[in-house]
Amino acid sequence: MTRRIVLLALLFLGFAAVAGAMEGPGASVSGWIYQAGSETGAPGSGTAIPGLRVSLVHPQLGRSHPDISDERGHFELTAIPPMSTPYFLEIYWGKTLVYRRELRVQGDVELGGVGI
Amino acid sequence: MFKAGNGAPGIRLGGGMDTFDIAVIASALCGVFMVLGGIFLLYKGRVSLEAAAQDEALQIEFLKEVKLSTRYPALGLFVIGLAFSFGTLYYAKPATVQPLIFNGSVAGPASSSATISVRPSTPWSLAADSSGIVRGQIDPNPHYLTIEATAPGYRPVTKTVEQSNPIDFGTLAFDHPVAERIPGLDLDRIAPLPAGYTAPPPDQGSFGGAS
Repeated sequence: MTRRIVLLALLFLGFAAVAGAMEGPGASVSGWIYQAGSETGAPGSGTAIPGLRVSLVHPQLGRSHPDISDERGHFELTAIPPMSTPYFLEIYWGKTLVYRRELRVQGDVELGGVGI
Repeated sequence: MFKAGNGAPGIRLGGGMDTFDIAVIASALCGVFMVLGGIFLLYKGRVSLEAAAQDEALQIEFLKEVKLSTRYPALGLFVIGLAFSFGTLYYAKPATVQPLIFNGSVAGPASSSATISVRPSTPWSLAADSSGIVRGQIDPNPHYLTIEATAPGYRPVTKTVEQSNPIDFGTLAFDHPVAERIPGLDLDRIAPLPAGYTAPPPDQGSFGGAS
């Protein structure tokens, strides 16, 4: 009987931990996309690319709801659950994948400029 | 508590109820009291279900179209009470949200990769009082909507339209290329995914949000 209670308690704690990771405000991942090779030397001087689809993928969580880069190339993904294993940041030009990199999210992440 | 069937908001009172909520509760109570009162009067013998004379029969006429008559006038108490109750149920049913239909097109070389988003023209905003408490309401049915079309490498195109149904927004043309080229596939910029894992399609998000 005691063993069953302990097992149930552990099961509940496990669910609570997963739910805690999935809910709540989560972290944000932001940055801006520019055309590689267009920089003039100063930070943030590249040509911003609007209209690109940016999202995160994670083997356990799937894909995040995408953001579309604005006129300044800026994007921001919000409510991202911090995970111990890495995400992958993907950028699509229309239907073509043009960028993917590994990204650890354990708090808010400001990427700065992403050249493609 | 309840949603107005016609969507017209009443005056909001304390406790989260407005005048419509109170009217609905009052009507429901009226119906219950009419039925219970009728049963009570029958029990006390003040009214009876005996047939009345033809000229004393209860007659209800509505718009000269519907005409009901009964020789058992006490039944009228129950009919009126049930009418209150069913009327309450009808008007207290949750309002159905009508989807907005959008018709229009995008033009330009990048139109096949366009994404269209719609938002209220005036951002929904709430203010805090002097003690930092935020309590307010927004109009979820804005009069004007802003439609924004984006396409890779093009300056976004926006158009503000008055809300109607359907909404015809015409043609949004991508006229201002900013970086009009599809970058070549550069494998250095595409890190491999873990072995055996296939990412969901780019338009199938399942968690998180976007600004």
